[in-house]
Formats: sequence, structure tokens, C-alpha cells
Amino acid sequence: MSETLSIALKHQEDSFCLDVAFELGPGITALFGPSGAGKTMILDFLAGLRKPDSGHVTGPLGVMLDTQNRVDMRPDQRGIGYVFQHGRLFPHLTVEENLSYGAKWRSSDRQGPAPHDVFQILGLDTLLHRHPADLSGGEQQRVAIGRAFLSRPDWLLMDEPLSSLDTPRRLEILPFIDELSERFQTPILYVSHNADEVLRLADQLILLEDGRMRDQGPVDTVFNKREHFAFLGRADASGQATELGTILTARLTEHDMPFNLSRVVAQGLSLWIPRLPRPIGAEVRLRLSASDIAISRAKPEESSILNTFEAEILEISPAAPGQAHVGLRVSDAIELWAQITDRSVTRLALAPGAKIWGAIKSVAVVTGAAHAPPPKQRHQA
Amino acid sequence: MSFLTPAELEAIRVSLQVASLSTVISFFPALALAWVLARREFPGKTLLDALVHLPLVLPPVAVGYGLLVLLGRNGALGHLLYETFGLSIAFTWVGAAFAAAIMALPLTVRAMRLSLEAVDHKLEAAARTLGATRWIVFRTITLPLMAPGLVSGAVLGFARALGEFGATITFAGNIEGVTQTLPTAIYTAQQIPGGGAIALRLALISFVIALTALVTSEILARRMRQQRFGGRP
Repeated sequence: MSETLSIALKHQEDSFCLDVAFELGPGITALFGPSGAGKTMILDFLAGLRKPDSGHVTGPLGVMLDTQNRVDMRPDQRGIGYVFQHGRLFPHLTVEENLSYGAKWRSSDRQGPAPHDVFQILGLDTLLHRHPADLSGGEQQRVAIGRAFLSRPDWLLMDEPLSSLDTPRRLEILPFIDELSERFQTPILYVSHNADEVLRLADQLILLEDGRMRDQGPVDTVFNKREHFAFLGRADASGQATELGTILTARLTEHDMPFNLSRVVAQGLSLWIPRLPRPIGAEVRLRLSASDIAISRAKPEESSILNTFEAEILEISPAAPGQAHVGLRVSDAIELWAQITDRSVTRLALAPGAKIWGAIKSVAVVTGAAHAPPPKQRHQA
Repeated sequence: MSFLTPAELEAIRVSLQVASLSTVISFFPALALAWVLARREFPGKTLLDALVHLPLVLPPVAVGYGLLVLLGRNGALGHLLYETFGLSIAFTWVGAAFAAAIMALPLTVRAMRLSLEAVDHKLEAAARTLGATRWIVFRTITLPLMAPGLVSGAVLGFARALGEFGATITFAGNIEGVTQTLPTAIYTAQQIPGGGAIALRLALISFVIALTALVTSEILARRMRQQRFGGRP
């Protein structure tokens, strides 16, 4: 059975026009775009809370929506869970009653996570007898996420579930979403306009612009396309994407305990990073900012910089005034960007085709905290 | 309660009985009307809204007369009812309750409708995505959330029914021990020379009952809100 949801939606509302078609597969798919791009509208159509002018949604269990043949499955029958931007917890029920609400109505032969596991991952045990009004914003969202998972959905929609939280709270909850999705094999469509969140969480990425799909594919592939740079910077609320950079998916190969470093390898490019508390073989996502990459003509032999590489210049394009973006081909699979001054371009006589050495001043690890224990255990340690 | 005369006690009994039955009869129709008016869009909604509110502005005597024409033994529906079942509700306490129910309906519907409109539709949508059908959502989310409104609607209706005069006396008469409620008893007392003292006593009794009902409902609704939504300590 193919575990994909085939989606095609068209809708006209005032001057806004939505027209998308995509498939939702396993793992976490991010739907990324600026406010007003139609992200929430898509989720509402998928959940059956609103009806599009025309559309077709088919899952492994059959057709959920087919406007042409007047099929419109009720929201409670679709097996699609929804975590909303603002919790939407039921104020008259306790946290525990909120959490168990969904499990009561869906057929019990459906496989699903055990309440205890979800409580533990989300650190909900101490909140169970409280009322939603007595919870903080972060606690409310954790309950909302737990409630959605416990309703045993086949798919889960998340509409910027962390946007109302401050950054520390957000970073605390993100790993739980990742872990829940992996543990319970629930595919997630995650709406966000925060590039940092997308990089930490998603496997697949759909870019949405004015109701149309700009691109889709694996997160690193889509993110690294130069043509999306301006769009990503515009749409991003985190500031992460406003600077040109490259996303690399690397594997952890070695720990250097004495120096407190770890070695990661991405398609032939080997990098030392501050020691990462993950097992050998773990996959991590890295971001190399253009401004963190320096260029020299000769091999930087006696330098404090650990990570250097040989590359060929692909292109040089203007960035900010006095600055240039230099595209570098490291290997067939890896292209990086460096941001240097126009003065350096002239002084080093850089031009496309030139062989140079690159030096990476810092590497940002954007995933890797994914399997950190929940906050409760962290305090005990 | 030796300070009340048997006649006064009878009037209180009939009044409470009539008001209680009136509340019971009107509760579900009022809830249905409140739901339709708050949640549905259909042609003729404005007309229905106006019809529901009509007893508020129509002379009560006119409503009572209308009921008599419709449900009296010679009335269009009443005739049929009498021929088929041998039933007639005009000039019975049930008839009084029926008249009171119609007069109280606008107030009850209004209170219920307001509380229903205050229920966040987004919560109901969330419940649907958790696998609950429309009916389950209504039972487990909508109804509990509007519960304070249900209580105050019912109590307002009850209090209004207690005070009903015009429609009751027209449709059900003023038969002591049968359809004579507190208001009609006051009216009767006023007709008798020297009955002013009795009228005053009856008026005070009405005042106490109505006030008790309203205060009780307010306390009940407040406690309900606190229990349900978790009060901060």
C-alpha cells in the first residue's frame, strides 16, 4: 500500500487564487511561504473544515475529496489530525480529558501511540489534572500536539504550532515533534514561515508563493537553489534564510574526545565540528553561511581554521554594495557560496574557472538535537 | 407556613406548577430555535427571528386570545384535539403553562442564543479533526460550553412564566386552585373591596420567588464556570 496522499486543490477567493497539486509522503513535509500564501487554506481543505471550489484528495484508504463526483468525506472520517496555531484546547475539560478526547471516537482497531509514551515524550505527566486556562503557552501547545497524536491520525497537519512561542520554548518543543513523528510513523504536513524550523524538522519542502507552488523536493536541494534565495529571505521569520548559505546533509564518522570535536562527512567533504553528542553514523544537517567561508589562492597551511577545501569558482555575482557572492564547486555533488569583498575579488584576481582554496570559519548544525531527552529528564541529569 | 392563607398557598402552588411545566415545555424548542438562529443561514431567517420575538411586543391578551381561537374547544386545532383524544387544554393549568411558555420563549431563546454565539466555532472544528461527529461535538463541546447560558435561559423563562398574566387569564382563565396564579390572584384581590392588603402580600411573595430564582441561577452559572474552566487560585 502506497502511503501517500495525492492532493490537487483549486480555489478562488476575492482576488486570491489557490492552485496546487502535490503528494504527501512519509516523514515531515514542510509547507513554507510568507503569510497570505494560502498555507492554512490548504490545511483546512485537507482536514475537510472548508471546501475548495474544485479539488481531489486521495489516500490509501480511498477518495476523501472529489468535487467533480461530489465526494466530500466528513472531517471526522478522514483520519487527518490537525494541530492549530493556537492550541484550541477545550476549556471545560482537564488536560487529561483533552488528551484522551480523540482516542474515544476513532475506531479502536487503528494502530496508535500509547498515552504513556506521548505523555513522557512531551513531559505532560505533571499537567494532567490542570485546566487549559492554567497552562502557559508552551504547555498548551504541547498538550495540543499530544492530543493530536493520541487521536491516532493517519496524517497530521500542523499549522505553525510554535509561532506563538518564544525561541527557547520553540527549540524545546521541536525535537518532540520530530521524535513523535519518527516513533509513531505519522507523516506530517508542517506549515511554517520560519526557515530555522523547516531546516531542523522537515525532510521534504514545498515552497508556496501567492497560492502557487514555487518548488518542491528534499529540503537541502530546494534550499540550496540560488533562484529561491530572495524568496526564502523574504518569507522567513527566523532570519536564518536572509543570508545566502548552503545546506549539507552529513554523516557523523568520528569523535575526537581529547579535542572535543566530531568529524562529519558530506559527499566527500570532511568537516570538524564541536563535539556532537550523537552516535557514529547519525545523520546531521549543516548550514554553511556564505559569510563564514573565506577564499585564498594558496592552501592555508598554517592557519587556525580546521576546515579547508579545494574548489573551482563557478560564478561571481554581486551581493551587497562592495560585496560579492562567489559560487564554488567542491565536488560534483557539493556547491558552496562564499561572500567576500569586491576588493578581495580584484586583489586575488578571481574569475570563473579559477582553482582556489576555501576556509570554513564556522559550521552551524541545524539538526542533531532531535533525540535530546524531554526537559523533565534533563533536569534530573 | 402559618402566615400564609390556604388560598395564597394554592396560588403559589399553581404558579410554581405552571412555571415549571412552562420551562420544561419551552426548553428544547428554545434550544433548537437558538441553534437555528445562531448557526444557520436560510431564507426567512429574519422572519423566524421576528416571530420568536413577537410575544415580547404583542399585547399578551392578544396572544392568549390567539391561543383560544386556535386551541379552544371550538378552535381549529382544539376542535380536532377534542374530537380525537377528548382533550382540551384551554382553561386548565396545562393551558396556563402553554400560554406562559410562549410568552417566555423570546427571553429563553435570547439567553441561549447569546451563549451559543459565544462558543468558539474553532473549538468545534478542532473536535471534528479529532474524530468526533457533529452530534458528538454538540454533546461534548457545544452544550457544556453553553451550559451557563442554558441555566440562565431556563431561569429567565421560569421567572417570566411566574409573572405571566394577560395570556394566561385569557386562555386559561382565573379559576381558584386550578389556573389562578399569583398575578391573577393579585388581580382578583384588587377587585374585592378591602383586598388591598391581600394583593400586597401576594405581590411581595411574587417578588421573593422571582428574586430567589434569579439569584440562584446567577450563583449556579458562576459556580459552573469556575468548576469547568479552572479558576486561578
